[in-house]
Amino acid sequence: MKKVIIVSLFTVASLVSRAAHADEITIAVKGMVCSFCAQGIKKTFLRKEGVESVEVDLDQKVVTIRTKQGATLSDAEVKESIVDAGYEVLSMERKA
Amino acid sequence: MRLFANRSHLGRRRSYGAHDCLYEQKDQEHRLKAAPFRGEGLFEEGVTTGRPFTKCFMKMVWLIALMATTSLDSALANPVSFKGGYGVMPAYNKDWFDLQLNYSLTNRYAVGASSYYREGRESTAEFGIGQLNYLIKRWNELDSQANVNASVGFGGRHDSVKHDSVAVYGALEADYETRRLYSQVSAETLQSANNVQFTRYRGRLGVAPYKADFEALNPWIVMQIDIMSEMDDSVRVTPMFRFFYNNVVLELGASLDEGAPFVAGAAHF
Repeated sequence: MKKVIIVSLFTVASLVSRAAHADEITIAVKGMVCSFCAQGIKKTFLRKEGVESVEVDLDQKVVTIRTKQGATLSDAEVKESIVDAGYEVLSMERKA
Repeated sequence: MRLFANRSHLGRRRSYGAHDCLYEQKDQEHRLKAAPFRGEGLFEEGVTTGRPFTKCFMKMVWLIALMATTSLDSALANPVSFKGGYGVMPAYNKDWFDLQLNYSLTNRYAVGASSYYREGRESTAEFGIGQLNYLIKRWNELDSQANVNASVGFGGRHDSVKHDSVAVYGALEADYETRRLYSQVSAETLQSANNVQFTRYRGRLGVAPYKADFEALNPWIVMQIDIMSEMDDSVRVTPMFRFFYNNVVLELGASLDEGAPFVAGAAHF
């Protein structure tokens, strides 16, 4: 019984800890050559509730999204947002 | 603010509302896809390498544009921006004025309302047009982007001499740009009854002196050629400075022949 309780506590703690993490998503984007036009990427992501910040690097052709604590953004959502802004996703990587 | 000063010296009857209603590449992609994103140099340079109707319409359009440009951190270059994005694009030259307001329903379609003022050889005309803009094709590459856009519209026209009438609008635009080079060709026409029509062919070539960061001021030097057979100066060459700053574009230039000022802007929000 004691083992069950301990394992349960660890499981819950692990889940809580995981949920509280913020994600950092790095996206390589095609077509991002115009600073004015790429504003659409920032605006599109910032409209999403779970997004904390958006950074656009035109030299590296990369967009970095940080989500709020506990919030998640699926790959499909990320891709959809990039497409809605008029661009194409080349690749994506996540860091917790 | 009166953009349209009285031009009685041109010997034309002024239109009532103009002044009142102010108005590389696959290899690079494979490398990017395969790369784990954490290595420095991954994206290094070289590696990734009727009268009342028209009057009221214009007034309303102008007021909305004014509010948009003054109260929001916003403004546009292509008529279609990002899904859910608004755009406002005013442009002024000595004998014409354009104002376009757009809302992008998707990344390919935008609807909008536009106002066009034209001083022809015989009269002045104002057009109020409801517009549909369509991004026909976009080529997104690592270091460049190209677009083909089309617009169609329907609305009304007021003319200082001829009867008011319905009007139609059509435009086709293609552009190609990198971070240092910008080019554009376009054709647009306004057609209405009584042979009141205005067609403008435009070519643009621009260079940026350096690659600006995303949120830094991005200056361009642009040469623009307009061919407008119905206007006094049917060919107009206008060198200009173009500035990007966040979501705003500002263009300032003057025509080579007589130094007529050219002012244009765009904002997305």
